[in-house]
Amino acid sequence: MEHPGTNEERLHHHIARLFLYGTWLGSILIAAGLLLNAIAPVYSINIPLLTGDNLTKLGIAVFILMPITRVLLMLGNFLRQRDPVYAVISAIVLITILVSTFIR
Amino acid sequence: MEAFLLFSAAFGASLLGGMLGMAGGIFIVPILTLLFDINIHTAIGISLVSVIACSCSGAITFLKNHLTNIRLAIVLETASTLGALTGVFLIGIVSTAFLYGLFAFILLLSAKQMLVPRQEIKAEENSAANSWATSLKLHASYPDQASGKTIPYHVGHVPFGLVLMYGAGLISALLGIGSGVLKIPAMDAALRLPIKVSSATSNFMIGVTATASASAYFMRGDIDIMAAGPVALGSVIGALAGARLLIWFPSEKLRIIFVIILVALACQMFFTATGIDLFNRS
Repeated sequence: MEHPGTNEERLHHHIARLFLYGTWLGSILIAAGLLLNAIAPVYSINIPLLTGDNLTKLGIAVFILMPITRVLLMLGNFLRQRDPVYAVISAIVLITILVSTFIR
Repeated sequence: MEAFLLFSAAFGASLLGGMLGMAGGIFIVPILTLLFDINIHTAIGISLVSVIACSCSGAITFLKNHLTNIRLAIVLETASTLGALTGVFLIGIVSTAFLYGLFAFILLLSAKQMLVPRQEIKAEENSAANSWATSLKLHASYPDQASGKTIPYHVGHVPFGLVLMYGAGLISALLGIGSGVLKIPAMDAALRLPIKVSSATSNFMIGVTATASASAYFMRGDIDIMAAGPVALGSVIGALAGARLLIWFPSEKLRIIFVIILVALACQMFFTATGIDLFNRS
């Protein structure tokens, strides 16, 4: 029975950090977008593209991208560790997600 | 105003789920369709975003406690994402009545699982040297907080687990849920994981499985941004608050409340599927 060792634990730590920062970023963007929309009748910012809708959309995109980024992180890790089996497995998951995203 | 109501509904659902250590995601679609009168396809897109948000924020604690078997997760995700891809294909084909009916079934299944306590079935210690789990080096260990020891465990039938994960991915894409209701029993029974590892690994996988279909919805412009935003925010905050309140509330009473709500929602979803209109809503 293999013990994962500190490399695996480091990977856990990196992924946990990715999720922590990503969750904060996504949440703040969504909250900012909702706030902008709420105050729009009274006060509006005159910067093109900086609308409540766009900020909220960006926040949602951050959440959707987080798991994809997590798979990329794992792929990078397995490549660095020269673990071809798991690198291929990670690549398969990534490709499946991409196909699902862009299929019409 | 509607944004605030959506936020509150998602917050409440995730709070309740969080107090029981599970996602409130299963409530989101029924709440959106039944209370907010949102079209089921739109509701599914919104729910998927909420599920991803909860999975990612919940995973942080599991990962820090080294409970998640990430290798097993990525192996199983080959099947669950394929299932999600199949679901994305089927979205335009299956009828809404079918979706409502399937949802009612899943709600009842969740209710049943809430009532039956989880049983830990250990995989055989001397599992075959040429088993998938052994070849892929999936057997691992986890730190047990209570005893302070690291407890090793073996992983059971991976091929069967893959088949179940394919199904879970398919249901996740079709209904906009995390499919924890399917993944957790699969991990407990087929893969024979310790309960904490199974919860952690299932939660970890839910995000990737949901993203496979959520990204399709997003690219097609099928996610109602102004509804998904408050729902996602409410879900994250509710789940975090629920996890903190976990220790203060007796889980037995909460379980009963959960089961009652699940059965009530299942009935209403079933009525919607079959066109029965008990309250004469037009």
